[in-house]
Amino acid sequence: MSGQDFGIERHRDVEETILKKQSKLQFGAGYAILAFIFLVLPFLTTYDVLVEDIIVWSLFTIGFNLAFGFTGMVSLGHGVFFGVSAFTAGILSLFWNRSVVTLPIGIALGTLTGAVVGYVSLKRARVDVHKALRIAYLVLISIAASYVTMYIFLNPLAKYSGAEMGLLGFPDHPLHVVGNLQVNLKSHHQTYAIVGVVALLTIAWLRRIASSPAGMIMRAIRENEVRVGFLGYNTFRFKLLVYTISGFVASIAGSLYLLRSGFISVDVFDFSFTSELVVICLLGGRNSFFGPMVGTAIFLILKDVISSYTSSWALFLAVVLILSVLYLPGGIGPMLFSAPKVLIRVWRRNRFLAGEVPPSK
Amino acid sequence: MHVLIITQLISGLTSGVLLTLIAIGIALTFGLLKVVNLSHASIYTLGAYIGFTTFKVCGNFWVALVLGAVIAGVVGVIFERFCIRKVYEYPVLGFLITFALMLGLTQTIRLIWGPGNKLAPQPAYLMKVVYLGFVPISSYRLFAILVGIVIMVGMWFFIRKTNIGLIIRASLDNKDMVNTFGINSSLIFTFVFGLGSAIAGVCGVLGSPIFGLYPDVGGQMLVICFVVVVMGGLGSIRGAMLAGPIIGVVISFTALISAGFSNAIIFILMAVILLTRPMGFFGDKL
Repeated sequence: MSGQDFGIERHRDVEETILKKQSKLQFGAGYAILAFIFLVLPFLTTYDVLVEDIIVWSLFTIGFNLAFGFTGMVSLGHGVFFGVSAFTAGILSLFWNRSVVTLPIGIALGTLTGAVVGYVSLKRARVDVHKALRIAYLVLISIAASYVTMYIFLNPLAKYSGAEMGLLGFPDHPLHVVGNLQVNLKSHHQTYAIVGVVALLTIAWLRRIASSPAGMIMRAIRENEVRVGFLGYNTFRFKLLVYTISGFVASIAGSLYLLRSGFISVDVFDFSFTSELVVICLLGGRNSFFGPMVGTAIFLILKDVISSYTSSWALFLAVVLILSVLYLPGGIGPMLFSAPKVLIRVWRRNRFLAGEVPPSK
Repeated sequence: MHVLIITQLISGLTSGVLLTLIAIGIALTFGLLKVVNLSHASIYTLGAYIGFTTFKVCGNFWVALVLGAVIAGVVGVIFERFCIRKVYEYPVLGFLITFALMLGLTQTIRLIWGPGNKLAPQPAYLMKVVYLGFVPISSYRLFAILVGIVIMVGMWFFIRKTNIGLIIRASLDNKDMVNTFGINSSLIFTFVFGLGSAIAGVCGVLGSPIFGLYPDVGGQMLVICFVVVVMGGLGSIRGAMLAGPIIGVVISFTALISAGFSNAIIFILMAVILLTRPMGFFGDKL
């Protein structure tokens, strides 16, 4: 019977997320905190690399969650878009032209890859296919994409991509912007600023999408795609759009990652790289917009701490994942976000019990 | 040249048969429970390592096969009872939990047996080379094909001719109706899961001299097995039986060019088949 309770619980959770309206104040406060984390925190702590990692990865996971958590499309191919974007930008600026133009070209190519992979896999995972089959097809075709790109970058492009070694030598020279203006890739402050601003803007844009009517349709598709089709929406085009957007965000994250670390290796094409994103989204809460960010922070900090003690990081990850699937399907993020509200409620009740004020609704 | 072709064909068929056996386990779980069972990979690896240790301790290959099957089956049943059971009908959660189980079991294996390659168990009497005309063939590969075919025929007999097989086929069709007849279908699910895991364990012992023995071998196999399952039609055993040898032969021939290339080519093949025949060779039929 526990299985049944589990299902009911989950549906209630989903309903609440769909029906809940966010207050402007809450959103503004959240965004101020976000801006602080993105723009100021890297300069304050000595763990600046970790904070920067969390920023880039948050962008990546929030974009991924738009497809995974919001629309219900499991993909293991987002590492491909990330990698294609980073590699294209890196290779072009090493062998062609050292200017920032290479970054948008990389992003464009990554997005294009995303659109193609999305088209092929979504074309196959149509509405008339069983839900479990649909997910299987999405996963398998994205794994196929990961193998094919890995082969391309390891063999025909080995001369440029550095094969197993990864792309080296990217941060040796500055990147030209316009005229004499250039980005010094060895200066942490400059790369911080670029990464922080771009990530902040992209997340704001994604937030706008997620809270728009289109975001509602995404969640409706996740709940019941057939019914959304009955309402007259072309769910295939909708899903392709979402897939492409999340591929676009993955590409931006790829370029930012290259800019920040100056290094990229073919490991990102491996589908186990993307499966970490799935874990992060689930851990942080796939029904909430900022959940994946919480997940990213927890995941990366845990990884940092635990890998310094033991090499069995994967075992720990597995235990956390199993426990969170079985007992916390909503994730940690929503719990964290509702904590202030719960505290206020408790505080009010205590004041009421003490006889200070009448109860407020 | 002919020699090379025949050797590659035989080696392709061997891996094809083993792939089919693993794929049948995945296909059955998917058909019955609608869960994409990723943990099957690590159960294969577990079987392989159990076989390795058993063979080192007692030196009998048959004991290694049986013990590998039994322990893999028991672990499969434990997985089903305590974790996967809770997420039936939730494909995404099922996918995640089996992924977590795979990760955990692989890491446990790495902790117990160490991360490196091991020399796979192979009985002395199967190390000889048999001559087929003038073509030398490893007798172990012939043995593996033989055992694989015996297991496959056994499976076919079991599913087609026995009462439990009848219940399994009925459950594939309509689970609720089977429950209505007063049959405890959840027990049947556990049994099927255990059976699939046991077969994966046997494959682990049989396949370790062919595919190598290291903690991540299961993951490598799993990806190829998925191609087999999808090409044959998810949930279809007949389809897996057809697709397995095809994939095995394709891999063994393209591996002559380069190893990375064979991985890319089977996935391109899978994508093409998915785009032309969406339900695989045999669709949803068993």
